[in-house]
Amino acid sequence: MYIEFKVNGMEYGIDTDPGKRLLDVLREDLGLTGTKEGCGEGECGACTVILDGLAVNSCLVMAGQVRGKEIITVEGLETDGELDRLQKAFINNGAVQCGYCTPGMLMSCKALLMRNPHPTEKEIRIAISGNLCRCTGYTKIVAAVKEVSQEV
Amino acid sequence: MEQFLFETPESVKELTDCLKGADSNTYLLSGGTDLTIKLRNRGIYSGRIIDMSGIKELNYIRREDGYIKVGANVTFAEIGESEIIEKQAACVGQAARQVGSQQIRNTARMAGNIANSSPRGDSIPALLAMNAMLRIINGNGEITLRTIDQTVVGIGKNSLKKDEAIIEVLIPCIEGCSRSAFGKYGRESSRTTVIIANLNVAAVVKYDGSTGEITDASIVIGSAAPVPYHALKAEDVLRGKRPADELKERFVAALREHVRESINGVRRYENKIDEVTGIGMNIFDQMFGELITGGDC
Repeated sequence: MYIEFKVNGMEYGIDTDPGKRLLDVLREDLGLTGTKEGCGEGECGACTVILDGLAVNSCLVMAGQVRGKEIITVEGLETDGELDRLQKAFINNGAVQCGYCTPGMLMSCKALLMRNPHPTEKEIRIAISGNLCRCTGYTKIVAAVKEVSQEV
Repeated sequence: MEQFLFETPESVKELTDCLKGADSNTYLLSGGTDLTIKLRNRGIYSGRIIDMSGIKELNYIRREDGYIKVGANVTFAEIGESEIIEKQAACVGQAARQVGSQQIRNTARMAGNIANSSPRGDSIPALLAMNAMLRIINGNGEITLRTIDQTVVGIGKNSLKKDEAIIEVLIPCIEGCSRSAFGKYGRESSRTTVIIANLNVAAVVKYDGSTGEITDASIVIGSAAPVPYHALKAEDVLRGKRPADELKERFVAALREHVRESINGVRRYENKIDEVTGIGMNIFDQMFGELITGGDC
């Protein structure tokens, strides 16, 4: 099936199995390996991307479902080599340790900030509650998002 | 290489055309959060998928003709954020907000949750407690209305024929004063979300605004039996009474008795009896305590 969609601002048209997971399309067809597979069942959030403005588990979305839609992956956060302010805040606050949860965590946080630029701590924790992190204890991630949310 | 044939109807009429030729290798794709896992786990990499997500005319929540009507393409996120649902069917909104994670709620549809018919599904007890119905269409364009318990008939089993699809959920609006609440205890106690229910309860009560007396009660227990069921003894305990601490104790005791009967002596399920105790107390307090969760009064 020929599927047209946008990823990180670029138009793509690929002929692929429509039942293939979006996660595999991103990693294998487009070479965007920033999005990770953790569990493959929507429990860990490592595969989170933004689809038409909403955070989704790319392991649970079929390629055919993204026809005509717009996707943002972790690769799409930086602009002309400059990290997004959220990425900088993650680094500043020590919110990246092993880094495996980080792409998915960033996308859940980015999706939150796109809808709600000044979330409360409770709202931040709800937004990332679908993302597991074994390293940071989540406090540094929450602090990073707070730092961005406090910027005017 | 194996591939799926992917059909993308953009209207209910096109959906019926797709349903006409449905067979055992045809899969209805609602949000996909259950189907993608099922197909992978069963090693199924070919067949026919009918993707309902493009049917924009099924994207609505509205109050009409005495019902809250929810189109089959509405996500759990949208249901959880709906003011109409919060006001008229609070237990359904609460259940929706407790499904999975934000990522899953952004994708999953209530119609798919119903059709999946998991005994641990969160929307099913809430909809059963609200006496919701389903509008179902088949490949000939014929419409039937079915209740939740006519549709969810066993563990992972629904009564839908291969050429049938749920296109609308109808939740009756309650006349007069009402309250509703939903509570859930998860299998994975270390997380606050993405928890699969080990026990859930939905409650809807009507009461006399001037006397405070409970005039009717609909209490449904889920995840304690192959399908959710009405807790008839708990309903009887509440009817004709005014909320009080002593009533809460009797209500919770009735819930415990129901779950004890459901688990039929299986020891590894005994924790469900304690779980329903906590949930019962919480939903009683939500409905009758300081936290009022919905209703017209």
